[in-house]
Amino acid sequence: MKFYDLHVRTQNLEKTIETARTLEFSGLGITATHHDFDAFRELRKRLREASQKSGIDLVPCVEIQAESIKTLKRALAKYREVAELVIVAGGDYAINRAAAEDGRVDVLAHPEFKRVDSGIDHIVAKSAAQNGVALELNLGELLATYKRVRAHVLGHMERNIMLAKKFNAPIVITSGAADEWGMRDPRELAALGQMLGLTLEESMRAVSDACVARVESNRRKLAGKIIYKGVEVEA
Amino acid sequence: MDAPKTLPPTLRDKKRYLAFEIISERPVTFENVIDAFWNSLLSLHGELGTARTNVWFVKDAWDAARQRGLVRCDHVHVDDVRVALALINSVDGVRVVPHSLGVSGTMEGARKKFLAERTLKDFTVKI
Repeated sequence: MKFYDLHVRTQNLEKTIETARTLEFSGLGITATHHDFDAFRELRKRLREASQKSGIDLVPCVEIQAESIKTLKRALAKYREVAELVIVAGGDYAINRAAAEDGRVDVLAHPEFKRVDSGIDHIVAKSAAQNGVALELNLGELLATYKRVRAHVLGHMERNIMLAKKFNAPIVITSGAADEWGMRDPRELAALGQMLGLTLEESMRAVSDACVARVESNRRKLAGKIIYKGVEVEA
Repeated sequence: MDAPKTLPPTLRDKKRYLAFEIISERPVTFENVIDAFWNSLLSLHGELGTARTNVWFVKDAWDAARQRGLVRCDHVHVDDVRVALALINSVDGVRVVPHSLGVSGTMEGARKKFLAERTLKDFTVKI
């Protein structure tokens, strides 16, 4: 079984790769923000080389931290053709909803971030399911919070899982690590999902098959093999 | 008659042994790991939830050189213990990445499989 963690930021790529190998990951989504396009292209090149050298699949992911829907749409148009995975940083309800309604988005990250509610309602969950936007469970949020705030975050995550299951929206579980010390092994990530209401099978899928399928389909799209939804070129 | 009799097997607690490894900037002691683990368990599951996990840290199984150890818990609550392990950030001020190696039903199996310990039985030759 291949395990992927799709949301990892890093300052030291070698150490991150080493940790990923120890934790038995097959692939990592190395995330950069959308603010610097040239830096992202440079990162993509570096990841390709490091991926071949290390044997760990390194996926260049862009995290769009949009303040408005306009910025989100502009960043999506710019990065969709370059990034193998597009993550939208959630938190703002309007952004959560716009991201769930846009098929170009792969993952809606931490929709409950800094909110007093879960950030997702039945409309967002239904749109996410229709457009194949995965809802993220971010372990990093729990690592960064304590006591009362953590209790709220756990409650919101549980609610989001309930909504995702109800409307069949895809779920991915990530570590959301800021560096290699924030990474956790796939079985621990899956255990979090299980604790919050997923079955063992669903939570294992959220750290493996759901991530692999998404990355592979995006790669086929970028290579021009998928022309339209449901139309594929067999070379 | 000063101690209760051992319960029949069907009434005993069903235990699992979770093997874990602590990846850290510099070596950490078993006592500090236990402290961090208890804090994480209590803050995540509360006192009642922690009581239900029935955790017991096996001191003899701690491998200081490789920073590996065993924790015994109830068979239903293995994943609760695993999440608490995942939520350990630092041990005595040292940044760590806890790594759960796997679960076994017996201590012997866990020691053999995850801590790579060997007994005399492994060296007996069948004639």
